Amino acid sequence: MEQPKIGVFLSDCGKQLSEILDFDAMTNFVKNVPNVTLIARGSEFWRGKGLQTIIDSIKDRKINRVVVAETLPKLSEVHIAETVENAGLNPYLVEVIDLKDHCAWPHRATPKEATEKAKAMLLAAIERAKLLEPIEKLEFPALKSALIIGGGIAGMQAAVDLTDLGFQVNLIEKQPFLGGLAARAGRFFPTDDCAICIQSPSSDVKTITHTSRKCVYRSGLSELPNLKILINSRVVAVEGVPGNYTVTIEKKPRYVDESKCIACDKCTTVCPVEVPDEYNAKLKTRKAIYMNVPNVHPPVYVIDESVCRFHDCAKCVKVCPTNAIDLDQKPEQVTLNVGSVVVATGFREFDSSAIKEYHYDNYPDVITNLELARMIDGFGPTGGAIIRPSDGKPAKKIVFIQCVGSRDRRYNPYCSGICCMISLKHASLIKSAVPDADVSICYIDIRTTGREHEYYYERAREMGIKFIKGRPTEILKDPETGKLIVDVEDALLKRFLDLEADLVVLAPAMIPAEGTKELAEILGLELEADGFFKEYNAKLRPTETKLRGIFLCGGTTFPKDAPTASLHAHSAAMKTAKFLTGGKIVKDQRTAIVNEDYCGDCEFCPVTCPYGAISLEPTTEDHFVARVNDLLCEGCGVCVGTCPLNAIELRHSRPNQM
Amino acid sequence: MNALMSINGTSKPLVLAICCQECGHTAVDSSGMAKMQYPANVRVMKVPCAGIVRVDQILGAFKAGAQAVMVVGCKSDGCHYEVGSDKAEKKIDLAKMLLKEYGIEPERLEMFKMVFIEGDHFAEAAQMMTERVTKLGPLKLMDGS
Repeated sequence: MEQPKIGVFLSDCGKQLSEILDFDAMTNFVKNVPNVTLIARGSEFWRGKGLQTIIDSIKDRKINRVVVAETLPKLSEVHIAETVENAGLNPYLVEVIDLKDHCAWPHRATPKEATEKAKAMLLAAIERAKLLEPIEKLEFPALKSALIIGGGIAGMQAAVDLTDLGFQVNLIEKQPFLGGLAARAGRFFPTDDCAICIQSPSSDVKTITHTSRKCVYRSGLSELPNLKILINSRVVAVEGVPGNYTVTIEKKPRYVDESKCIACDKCTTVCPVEVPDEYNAKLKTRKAIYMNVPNVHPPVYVIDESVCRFHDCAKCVKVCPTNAIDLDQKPEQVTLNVGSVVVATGFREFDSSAIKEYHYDNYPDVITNLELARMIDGFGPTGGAIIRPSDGKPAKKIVFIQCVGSRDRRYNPYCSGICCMISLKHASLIKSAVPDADVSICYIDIRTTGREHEYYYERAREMGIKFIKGRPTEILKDPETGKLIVDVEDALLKRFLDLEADLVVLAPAMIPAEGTKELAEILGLELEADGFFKEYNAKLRPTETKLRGIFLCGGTTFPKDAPTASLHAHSAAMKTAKFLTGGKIVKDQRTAIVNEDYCGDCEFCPVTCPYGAISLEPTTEDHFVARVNDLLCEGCGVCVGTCPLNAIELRHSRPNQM
Repeated sequence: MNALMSINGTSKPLVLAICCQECGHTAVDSSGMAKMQYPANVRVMKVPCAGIVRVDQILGAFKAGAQAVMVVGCKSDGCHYEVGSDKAEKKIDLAKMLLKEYGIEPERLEMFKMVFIEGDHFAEAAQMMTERVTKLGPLKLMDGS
């Protein structure tokens, strides 16, 4: 290694520091330190003339290490490193210290001691500079493709964004149809516009009949050339590194050829199997071959394999005019290579039957908000009529119960945030359709924090919806009339009420989607205590995770209303695009390095590494050593502190450099 | 750097502050920016993350002449490298036990957790450590430790 020639640049910050520190003494001290070839003094070295001084010193005096005492080191470092790099020196051969904030200012009362400290700081910086090593920039390839897990509102928005930006996108959905939870909602608050449009979200693809930018119905999700939609699929395994993941996907058979089906409805007419329709809250029945609602994507029937009699019946095969039905389809495994993964698995309703006193599982007239949403939806099972599921008669007295399983330490301590608005929406929709309906909402607090949301609440009150502050203790059933009675204490009026009801609507907590835990394990992500995915930093790095290349959006991080989920999805798409757009990932090699002569067979570092960057690899039959993946390593050094044999060092922060 | 930090003596006992580059070191910045005062015997050393600190380095710092060592990291749930701050805390506990064995007062070693804006906490902590070791008197090292 060449002899270090150190240039020391002392900035007095516009004479501010020389009032406190003795710069002459410092200069004399530094002069006598071995290997220092140049000392320059000035008022600032991080812009303009000062930077030029550094460039000239590197070029003319051939210095190969730079020590700068400068204010605001975290800002000036950037400029200085850049300049040094342009002058032909590795930017990591620079050491910047802060004599103002770390020495002069906090010790202004004791200038003599401060000068001594400044000397020590300079000496330390010089000694460190001597030992610094050049750090190279590494480049890793990144595929310009993404996998989006979850075809709800967030997943679809992200998919469309990324497709529009020119990436190859794979959107996978567990269910046989796209749309997720938001599609079932019927209407969205606070505008009461239809939710069905989310199944074909905003894209600039225009059809002949459709030109509006606002209404997005039929805007051509399926027509996007770079979007591959995999329905009925789930992720089985994810391997690889950011920029190049290999994802294994299991695709359940649909038994209907997506390219052939013309959605003519002949198959459902002949299908003899009838089962309660889960999607529509079991308020009607569907056949074994079915479509959720008429305008879903993909507009292709699906066979429910749990009830279909297959070749024993096969009536649908005979009647299909395009021979689209294939009862012999088998599950297939698809392998995809993608640059990054976006998780948009969302959330679901808490199972209210856990709360025994509300009898959700044994009183048919106790339903949840999502089930009510299907009832209100014009495409839904009742065509928009509000009925009692037990006898099909119109429901006039309706009681909503808020916070079922949320804000409840027994189940979920958090507030799901959106259920108040959902209940307000439903109550107002019922009240405007059936003005003589008697609608009450039992609440703990009404939380309407969004734009226009408070007016929505106000309007609901003006419509005559009753608000009762109190959490109902129990739902009872009158054995004679069969009517439900909700026991509640009105905390404002301080009296007990027995509310008679035709229909009781529960607003359950929103909890993470099914399989969230398994997916987190597959991806190597962490979950929060409430079971949702952990965002890296919701303020500065929203939608990111601790693993570069994996992003989160929508309800995966917490329950969100549709606009927020969309917004979150756009953010995730943006982050993904930023990550993949160059086709490569550039990273400096300030990473951990293992001395394989010392490393031996323990498992401390791979377990400790928060980023999963260390793996154990065999060298001989019974000897394993740790290897660090430079792409995954974030350079924190936690492994260094953990190694019992001191076999790991962090480049740029080796023990002798500290 | 440990040794170098301690070459130049002042009237007061030397205190080495090992600060992580994320919250710890920036807290020192912000205390300086706000012109908060603490004694000049507190020397700051920057590491990427508090988790990198090894027990032998802490002992080395005492050997090099530090009368007290403070490790400054991020808050547990705000650690920029997920687990570093907690790992460091565990190691500090271990090092304290070792110090006791060596006949050194464990109070000379302390872990602090702060966020960037808590410059006042750093100044207070530095002041407190200085006072503490002034009271304890000079460090007595046994031979060979």
